[in-house]
Amino acid sequence: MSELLAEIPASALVPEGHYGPRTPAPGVVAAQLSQLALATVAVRPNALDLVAELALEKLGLALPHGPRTASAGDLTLVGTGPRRFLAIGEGITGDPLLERLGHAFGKTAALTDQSDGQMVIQLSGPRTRDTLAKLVPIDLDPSVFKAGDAAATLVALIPVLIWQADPAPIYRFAVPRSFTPAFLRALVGAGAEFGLQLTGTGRG
Amino acid sequence: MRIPCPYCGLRDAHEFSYLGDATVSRPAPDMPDAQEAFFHYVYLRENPAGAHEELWYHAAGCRQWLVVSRDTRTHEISGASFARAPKADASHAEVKP
Amino acid sequence: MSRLSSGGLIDRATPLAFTFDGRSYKGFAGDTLASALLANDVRLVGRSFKYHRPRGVFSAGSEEPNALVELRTGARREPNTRATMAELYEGLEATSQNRWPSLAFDLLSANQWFSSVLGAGFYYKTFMWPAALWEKLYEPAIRRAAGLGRAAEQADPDSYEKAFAFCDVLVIGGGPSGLLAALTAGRAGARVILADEDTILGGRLNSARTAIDDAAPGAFLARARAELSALPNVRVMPRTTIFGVYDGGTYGALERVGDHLSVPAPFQPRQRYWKIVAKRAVLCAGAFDRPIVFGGNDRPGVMSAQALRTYAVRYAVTPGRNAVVFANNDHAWSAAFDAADAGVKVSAIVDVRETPPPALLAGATARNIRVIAGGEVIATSGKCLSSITVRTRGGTETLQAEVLGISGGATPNLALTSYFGGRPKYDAALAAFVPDQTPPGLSVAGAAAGQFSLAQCFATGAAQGVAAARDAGFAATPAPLPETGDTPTSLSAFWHVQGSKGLAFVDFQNDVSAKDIAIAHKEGFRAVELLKRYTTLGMATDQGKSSNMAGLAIMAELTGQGIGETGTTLFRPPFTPVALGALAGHHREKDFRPTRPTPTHDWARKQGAVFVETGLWLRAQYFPKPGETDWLETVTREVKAVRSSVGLIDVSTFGKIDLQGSDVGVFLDRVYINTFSTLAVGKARYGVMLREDGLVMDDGTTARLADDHYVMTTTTANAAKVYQHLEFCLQVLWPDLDVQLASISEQWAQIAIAGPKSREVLAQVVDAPLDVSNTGLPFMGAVEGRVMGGVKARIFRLSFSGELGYEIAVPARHGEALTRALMAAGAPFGITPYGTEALGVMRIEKGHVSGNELTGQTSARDLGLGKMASTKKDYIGRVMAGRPAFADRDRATFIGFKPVDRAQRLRAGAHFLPLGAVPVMENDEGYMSSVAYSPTLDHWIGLGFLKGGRARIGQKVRAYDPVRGGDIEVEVCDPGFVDPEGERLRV
Ligand SMILES: [Zn+2]
Repeated sequence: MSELLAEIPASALVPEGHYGPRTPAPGVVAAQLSQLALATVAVRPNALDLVAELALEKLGLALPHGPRTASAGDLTLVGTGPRRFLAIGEGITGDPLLERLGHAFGKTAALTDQSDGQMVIQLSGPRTRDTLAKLVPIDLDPSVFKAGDAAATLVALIPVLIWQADPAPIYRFAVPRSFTPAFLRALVGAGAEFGLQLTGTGRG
Repeated sequence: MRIPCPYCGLRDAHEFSYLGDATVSRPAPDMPDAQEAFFHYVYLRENPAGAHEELWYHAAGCRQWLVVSRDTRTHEISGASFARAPKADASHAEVKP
Repeated sequence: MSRLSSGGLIDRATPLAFTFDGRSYKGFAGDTLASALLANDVRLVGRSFKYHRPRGVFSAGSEEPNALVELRTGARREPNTRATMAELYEGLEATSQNRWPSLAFDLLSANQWFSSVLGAGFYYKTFMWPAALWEKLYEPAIRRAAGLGRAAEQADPDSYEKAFAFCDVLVIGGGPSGLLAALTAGRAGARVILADEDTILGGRLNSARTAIDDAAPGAFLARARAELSALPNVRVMPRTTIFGVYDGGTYGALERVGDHLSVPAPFQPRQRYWKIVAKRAVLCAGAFDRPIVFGGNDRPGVMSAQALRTYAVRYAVTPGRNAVVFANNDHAWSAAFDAADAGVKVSAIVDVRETPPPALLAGATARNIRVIAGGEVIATSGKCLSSITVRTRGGTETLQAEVLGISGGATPNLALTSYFGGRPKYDAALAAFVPDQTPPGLSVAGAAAGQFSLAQCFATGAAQGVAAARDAGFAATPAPLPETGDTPTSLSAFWHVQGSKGLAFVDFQNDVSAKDIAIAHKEGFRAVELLKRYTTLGMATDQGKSSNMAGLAIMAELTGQGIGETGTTLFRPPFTPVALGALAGHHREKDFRPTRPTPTHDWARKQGAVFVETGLWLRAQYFPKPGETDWLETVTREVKAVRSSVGLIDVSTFGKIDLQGSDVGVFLDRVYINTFSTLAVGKARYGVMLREDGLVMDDGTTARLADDHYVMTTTTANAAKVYQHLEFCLQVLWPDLDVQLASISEQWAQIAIAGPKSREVLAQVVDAPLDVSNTGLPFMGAVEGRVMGGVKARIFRLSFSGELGYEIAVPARHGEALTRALMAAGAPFGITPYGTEALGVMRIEKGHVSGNELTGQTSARDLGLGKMASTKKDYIGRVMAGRPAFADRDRATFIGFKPVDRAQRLRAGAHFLPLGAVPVMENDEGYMSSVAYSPTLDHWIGLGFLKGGRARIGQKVRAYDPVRGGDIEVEVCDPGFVDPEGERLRV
């Protein structure tokens, strides 16, 4: 266990702050995002083509094919499995998101609010990939995993969804709520070597 | 071992859980010898040295049940496809590693 | 001092102080502990494992059998560290091991005088009988006499981590062939990882003076290193050992991030365990210089000829004042020449061959080195080596020598090729095993492939680099090779000097001598796998890297079989020892596994809750109040509060699954034994799920929120298993059903309130127009609405405790606020937070089954739930549950128990016996699964499984618990101890 986490209870979110050596700029910036609404979209059998049409028509986005993301305005869909997506709305809450999706898809897809079930954590900074190499068991090399790519996988025994939001690179993770303390511990332990700035988790 | 998930791509076997022989199918429950048929379905398995079609669940990925073709002698995996009838999702064909 | 005045790759501007056995010495940056000790004339560095023989440095690499030390002190003390791999740092502290009282004077070295009885098979023969003495006598004695270093006794203060890497081509080893492989594949654009266990790239080129492109090797190395570091697609990983090859092109690697420092750099781990996934790999791991077996070949000062070269050329150390080389091959001569040219006084070369190549003879003459052709070393003497005895055609002769470089030829380092069961094949011309079948995707180049000369290394390295890059999809082209005058080496197979004096060691670390091999042969342990286990050849921490070859060659001589027919034992990972801490990474102590707090964790902590781990979850177990002396007092108070007024508990950890679609009712009918398609909207029902073998998998309550929308709950423990099972049913068994699943376990916080006052509490937090009256929300009702002024909620009128009760689900972020609101609303009633203990007590009082009963070995009928099963439909497990044995009247089924003497305590795990029956298995009638002290009844109560079950209500049986000394009479009773008719639920 990293000494820097020894005093922080395993059940608590790692408090915001700087972890690791003081450098002019942090190597990694991690932020727990708020003001996001999330929902699973499970397309009903034989309705994928129809849902794709509706997505284009009503939401202005091309349904992602495979584990990828598609965005239009404040709405992003992430492919999480065949006929399954995680919808993310920025700056809104769960009910309006469900309403919008329900309006667009009607009975063609099952919608389930996940705004409280998943925490979204964003990573950026020059040493992001070096940090992720210690966490993510898939190849995130830019030749393989690009902006718009997504993957559901296991990080430090925690089921997560990761997607690249920007070529900069910026990555985002959706982490089950109760696993967020453990995820942050793994993240801070991995990134501290490069200087990690954590925000959005409160002061502990 | 790395399993070529048709949705997620090549992933370490740690992300999957194993069930076993994919060639057995649930017998009709109302046939006269159902108990005998279910006994075979639940308990009896071949133990082939060589090609084996087996069910794996991508628990930490897309949560799909897959039929994986594995050589039990070498662990060589020659392919994987969704266990769900392919017509249910025509957008993803079988992939090879 | 034995430091040469010039040369070497050490940094003379950076002197480093270190201690060995408490004495202070000086070395330089670039030294290993071994080179620094030799430079300080410390030649005796350890004692051997079994005979405590004095030992010195044998090699200059990871194959080192002798120079094992304890490195560092206190919590960082690390035993069995190879001094040849330990980089020197300022303040390094090392201690010799396996000696008592001191390294120079070791009392236990007397063991060697008993080598005749301590030989092969000693442990097997000596400690077989009486077995009872093993723990008390044999094992402690063996551990004291024959052990290596001591592990640290405190927790490791350093951190370790795991990491993942992916590449097109993994090159294992950074010597001449590895450099060419990496350069060739890298130039083609492939993503290359070059992993090298050494500190600096170059391998043997760091220890050689052979010209490359008409210049010293350093010039070539500088160019190669510069080009590799300039290629953005090439990653060089020094201090990184590839220790294992696994399926699917996965390689295990250990990076020693901070082992070369006194403590790791801030925020850095000591070691990093890499999982590398490579489309292709090229093994360029070089070869080991193997010893020749002769009497006294383990004396400090005897080392491999190539190690002599390395110490002289790379470290500028002369490991003794007067060097002799004893060999059977050309390569040893070039080692002697390089050492001499670096400044070591090499006085003679003894070669078993009668006529060494003329070019070598000329080289020796030019350097004034005496050549003894057709000679053999038959004895050594001195505490540390001072002289050797050589047998020649003319007789014997004693030569002064403080260092003897020996070489029986090169053994390809091919361990990784055999990890998939590939058996190396014997190449008689090389007198060595070379790789045959390799793991998929792995090819071999250079000395590891038996291509020993420098030119061959370059050529095969480049060729394999091209092939690997092409296989990975890159258009690689061969480039011109570096020029080198090096020629293929020749040798004459030679293993064992006959008729030498004293113990002739094959395996230095495990003290296996040529005589032990002969004993194994005589006693019939001739197959290599038996030879290995009988003599322990190759079973020490070095895994016989340098010793195996001579051992099996000697066995081959004895059996008269060829070496190829004798074969070699297979290698297994890890290639070199790997610390368990590195494999664990950050998963230790608090981070051993993820901890999942519930939505009300912080609130519960502030209430003084004691927590319990249930799976990964931390749940409040009970809430002690000041003045309460033990948990039972607290739990009793909590139960009484619920039964008399109202209590509150967080039940968010239950698995919760959202099911939507037109076929959900049909689907649930198939996965539950009871019927859900007929459940009315706004109602919930308890359901039991079987596995296909007819045994119960899980239970829980499922509610219907709309025609095509249900919400299922599962037990905390089985949440993931049930979800996976439902997906199996939907994807594999019935793919045509219109059912969409979503896990909502994390989305909803769920708070249960229970007790006669719970409705009054609930009524205060719900928003109008939600009606929670007995008619508005009857028992097993399930409604959606708003609470706390606008928070959406699902309210279920359910009870596990047996009291009037509700479970209120709100989005998880509101879980704590809801709890506070309920606590405030309940304050007038003395609302009491309770934990899993009180919940457990109350469910036992009610006779509800739980995890202790859902063991995976119980059927619905066993649990008293058989009547729930529908006969009008098929469901998972129905057919198999109909097997006759499940209906056997003698089968142990679920029932309640109370002590006949009500003052007595019950114990879960006690077995039931008929009164007066002897406690033997034949009389066993079942067991107690759950017990509790019932505050309501004021005595202990229990649940369990008893042959005959309900038919035996009123009878008395014996509850026998020899483990904890319990043996009491209990009365069989209905499991519903409290309110068996369930009247309190419906008020
Ligand atoms: Zn998948």
